[in-house]
Amino acid sequence: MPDTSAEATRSGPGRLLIAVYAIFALAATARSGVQLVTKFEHAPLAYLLSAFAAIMYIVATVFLTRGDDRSRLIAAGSCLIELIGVLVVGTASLLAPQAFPDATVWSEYGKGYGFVPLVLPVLGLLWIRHLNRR
Amino acid sequence: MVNAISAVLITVSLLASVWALVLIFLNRSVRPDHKLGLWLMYLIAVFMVGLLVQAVVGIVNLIATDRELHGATFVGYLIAPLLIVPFAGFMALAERSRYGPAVLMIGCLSIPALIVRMHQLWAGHA
Repeated sequence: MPDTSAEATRSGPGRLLIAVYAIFALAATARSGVQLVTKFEHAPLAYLLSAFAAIMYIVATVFLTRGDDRSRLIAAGSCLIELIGVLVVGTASLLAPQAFPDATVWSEYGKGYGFVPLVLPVLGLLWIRHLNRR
Repeated sequence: MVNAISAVLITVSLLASVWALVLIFLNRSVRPDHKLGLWLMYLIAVFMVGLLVQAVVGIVNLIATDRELHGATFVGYLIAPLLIVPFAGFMALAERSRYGPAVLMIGCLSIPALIVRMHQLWAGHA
């Protein structure tokens, strides 16, 4: 019954997860969009990484909302990429700060956003694992 | 920028967040079929009106000012709450468990951050 499984994905904790993802998708998209259009030359790497993060947040939001079995897999993939991204970019921003003249969403493990970018993909993966075990 | 409007908006957002937290502890949804849920929705409606006033006043101030600031980003911080709060409100209404008020709380708690950023931008250190 694909409908009930999709409903399970977006209900309860899933609804909260999707809400936070949607807010981050909006924030990251708006921010990176303005930065890419108005001052791309200032910090091209940082702004491209922010745009990439924005796309991952949109993917997670859309596919968690769809919620069927294949959508869960895609959402889990985006969570995994986010987690790797925030760990790699977070570490790089501390080791080589000169490469990041302006902050990305993932700089210093998402410190500028209350470390939510670090916690969110972990919660996403835990939620999908919980759903798949039922 | 008008500090009084911002102070009122931050207060209302924190009040709504605490209210949502109470509903989470009571294990209630934000359905309008009980009074606590209904009044929270009234408060959210008042909050929305306040955010709309802030956006209008902010944009008028932006047009009138001759200071150097990034207009698009500034307007973004004024408009984003008008998207986030109703979005969180409708998502909260769709949820029949305590995760409904949790969604609303997250939505409300993100607004003070946006208001503070908007003021930083206006003050010139962004």
